[in-house]
Amino acid sequence: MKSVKEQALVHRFLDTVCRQIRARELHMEIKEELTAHLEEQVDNHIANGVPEKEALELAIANMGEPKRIGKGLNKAHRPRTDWVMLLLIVLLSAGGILAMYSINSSESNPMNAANLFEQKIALTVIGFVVMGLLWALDYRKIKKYSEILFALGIGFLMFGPSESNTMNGTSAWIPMGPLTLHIPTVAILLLMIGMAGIKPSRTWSWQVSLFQHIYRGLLPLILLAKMNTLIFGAVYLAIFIIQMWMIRRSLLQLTILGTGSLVLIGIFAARAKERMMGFLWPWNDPHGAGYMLLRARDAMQAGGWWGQGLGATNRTLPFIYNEGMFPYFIYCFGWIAGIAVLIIIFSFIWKAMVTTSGLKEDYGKRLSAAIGTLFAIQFIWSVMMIFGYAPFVGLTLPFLSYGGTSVVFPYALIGILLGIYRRRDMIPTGWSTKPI
Amino acid sequence: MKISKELLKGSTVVLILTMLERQDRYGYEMIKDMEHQSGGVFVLKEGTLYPILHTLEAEEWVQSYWQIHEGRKRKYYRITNAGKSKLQERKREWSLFRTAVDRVIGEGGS
Repeated sequence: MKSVKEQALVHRFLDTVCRQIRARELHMEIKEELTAHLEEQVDNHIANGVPEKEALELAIANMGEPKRIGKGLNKAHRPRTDWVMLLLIVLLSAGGILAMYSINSSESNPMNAANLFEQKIALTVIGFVVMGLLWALDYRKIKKYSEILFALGIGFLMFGPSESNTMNGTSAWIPMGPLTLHIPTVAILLLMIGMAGIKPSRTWSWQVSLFQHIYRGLLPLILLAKMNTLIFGAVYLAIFIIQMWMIRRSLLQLTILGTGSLVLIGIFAARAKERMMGFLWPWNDPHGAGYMLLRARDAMQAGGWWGQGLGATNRTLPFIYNEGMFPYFIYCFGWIAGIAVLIIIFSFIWKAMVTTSGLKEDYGKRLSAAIGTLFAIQFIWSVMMIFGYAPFVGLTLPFLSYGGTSVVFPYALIGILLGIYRRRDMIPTGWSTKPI
Repeated sequence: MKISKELLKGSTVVLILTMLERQDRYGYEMIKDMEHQSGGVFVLKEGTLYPILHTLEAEEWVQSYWQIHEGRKRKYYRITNAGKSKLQERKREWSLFRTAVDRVIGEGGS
């Protein structure tokens, strides 16, 4: 007798089931599972003395209506839309647009000629389009470019900076028409996406392991430090450690990486002494390093619970559309609005964590973790520095602040995140043979 | 006596999760055990079990894995911690419902 798998009757049944299931990649696995069931059923009937042919017919009849089974399975493997995440992004974007409108209509716009409000709207629209495109794209297609993307990130860091474009003491900007590309931002994105596609650590020898740590850990850090953008070094370090932890849960590795990081942070902190001093003792140098923190504090105090109103002028806050944006927001709309923004930000971080932990496919999980880490650090640091718990560095609040690169790129990342979540239940997770 | 489909529908998830709480099982095994343990009262149309299992997995209440057993490939299901707490919740819900019904129809009342 032909095996159950090869029977025409079984094929017809399975095909009818699978025709209802849109997630095509799952067809094989579902067929396998249902066939296994039929096999057991047939064997059981035969053992009870039912003739082979009837046993098969009986088994299939017992399964029930194939179309209904297919519909039920399709429902379990539908594309998912992360409405909560989307809503949070829309709210943050709206907050940013409102703040830009406020700066624009007040007399505190330091970029006299630029219309911040209009530019912010234009960039947000571009951001949403990019987000939509990446949302629709199957993120797994990116995986095969991992090595190229990573090398490109390194290349950006090596050859990117030009001496002529120095801003705030860092030479990290490339002009691109009316916009400027912030090299560390672009490089970290490339490195991070490239690193998520890393080969499983099972296959690593100690030489490979050493190479991976130097090439993916140390080299980018040295290059970022050379560019004098320490915070981006810290962001990258955190992403790197989390990625390494995800592919190889080894305490020894973590200890070495942890100790190494502390030494690095020590060296960096010594180099960034001036900013650290400003952070620790802002009153010692109120016109220099401590200036930003003190101005931010004044602005937020002046805002009170309900704020000074839309379009309030504040001439003392530096970088009002970037690092100074959140203090200005509180200055205008008060603590109530500020707390609302904080709640949105922390919901966002929490949501990114929950989404990541629910993912089964490895690459998507790593990519999602990297994106989540990037946002979490950026948000938390930005908020902490405004309240004086972290030194002021060139970090801006994603989605809220103004800036060429920093407006469009976060949306691209959210697009990838939404795309990963969308396919969560639509892709095979591999044929693991033991309990996870 | 046969149980009406509507009555069974509401309790399948509790039954499946309870069985998985005791040990990991594969689909065919679940059907047989359920029939056996309920004294032949619960006869699920076999195919309908799979959409339910896949939905439970999407909800992260169960996890699946393949295992080869005596030359046969089987897809096992295992309850997760989230599934366990969901089960507790559903069990409480069920006992409240059962008590209420018993009271109304007068069998458990004072």
